[in-house]
Amino acid sequence: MKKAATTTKYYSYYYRQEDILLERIYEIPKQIINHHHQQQQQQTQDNYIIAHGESGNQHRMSKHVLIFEKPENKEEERYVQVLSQDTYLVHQEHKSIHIPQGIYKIRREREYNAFESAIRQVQD
Amino acid sequence: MIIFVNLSQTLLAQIGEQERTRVWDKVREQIRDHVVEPVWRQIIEHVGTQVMEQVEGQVKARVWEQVENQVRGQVLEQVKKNKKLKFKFIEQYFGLGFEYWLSFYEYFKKIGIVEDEEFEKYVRPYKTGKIWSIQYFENFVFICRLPKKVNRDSSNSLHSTTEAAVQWYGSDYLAGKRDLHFIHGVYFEREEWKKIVNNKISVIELLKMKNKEKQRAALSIYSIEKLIEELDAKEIDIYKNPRDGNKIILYEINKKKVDLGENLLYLKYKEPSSDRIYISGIPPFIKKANKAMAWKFGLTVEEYENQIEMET
Repeated sequence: MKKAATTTKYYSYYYRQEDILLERIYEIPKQIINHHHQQQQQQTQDNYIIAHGESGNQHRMSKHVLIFEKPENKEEERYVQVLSQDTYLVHQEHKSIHIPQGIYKIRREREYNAFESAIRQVQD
Repeated sequence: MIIFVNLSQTLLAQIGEQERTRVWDKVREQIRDHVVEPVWRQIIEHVGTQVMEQVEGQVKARVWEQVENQVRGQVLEQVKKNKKLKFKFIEQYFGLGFEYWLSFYEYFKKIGIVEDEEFEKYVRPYKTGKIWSIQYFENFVFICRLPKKVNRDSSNSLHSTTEAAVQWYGSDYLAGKRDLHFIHGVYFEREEWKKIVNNKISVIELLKMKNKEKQRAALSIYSIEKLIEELDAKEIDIYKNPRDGNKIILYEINKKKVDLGENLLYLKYKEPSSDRIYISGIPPFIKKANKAMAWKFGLTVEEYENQIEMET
């Protein structure tokens, strides 16, 4: 008898605040972990600022987090590990967002500028 | 934040001056005891009291001048190297109304639960009721007093389209120069603000604005609808977000309207954590609103649509 095909639908968890999107993932890429081990870098940070706005506002993690960055280009690939249950993503102009414990990829919003024919990161 | 930058620069200069004065006084004292006075005693021994009285003023001044010139450079170098001048940031409070929580402390103090001298020092500046912002550093506190006038919008953000949102006390020259212009919480330089509030900004300038917050604030006066109408933008796709019911609309603007080699695509959407409306440029190869929104964060359409939690 032929077995019925089963499909699994994967859902993702995203937390968005303006131009910042935190994507819940299950592990940090090995090459980034290895780099941090080799460098023996201090990764734990208090009040880690994910992004600075031109107007002085900041997207910031409210508690202690671990940071993992791509060595060649920090802006391109960054991960944050939330250690405490009561951690929030905070910003002066936006509602605070509760971020549960776990690992997240930091994604930045981008847009296309037709006048320059260029893609660039959104600034706020 | 601009206030902080301006303020800190001024205060930094003051602190630098204080530190220089302190070090300089100490050096001056040492020079007097170990250089000037011994030299002066030798002069007296050689020329006698009478001559000394005649030339005292001239000689003393010259000795001081020479020593001062030599030592000043060295002192300044030492001050620059002084580690105490490094500013380690602790926290900051900005704007009015941040001190309400101190009333809890006052109550606990009143009923005898809390008594802390250090905290008293911390609280003292707040009690004056004349503070606009405080920045705490390891060894310094920067305090900015209340402005003369503050204008806000209905959501309490700094805002005014008729005059500066934050107006400072001071001389006529300084007061006008330092006043701060905001539109719905977003800071603008005076000339830029004037152009926007007087409707002197063109549609193209609005579209070219690199700062998203500034563009959104300027569009709140100009209106996105007016912009769409003026450029005769066509709706080419609409996506209704099932999570919050918000519509995401993709518009196309004919290249002839903006004198470009390709048509312009713009996405109009509501930002869920602030309920603000934005417009954002999209590459010309994207023709679907959901795909455009997914592209903005480097997601596939499936990833974007399968988000099960987007907390705001």
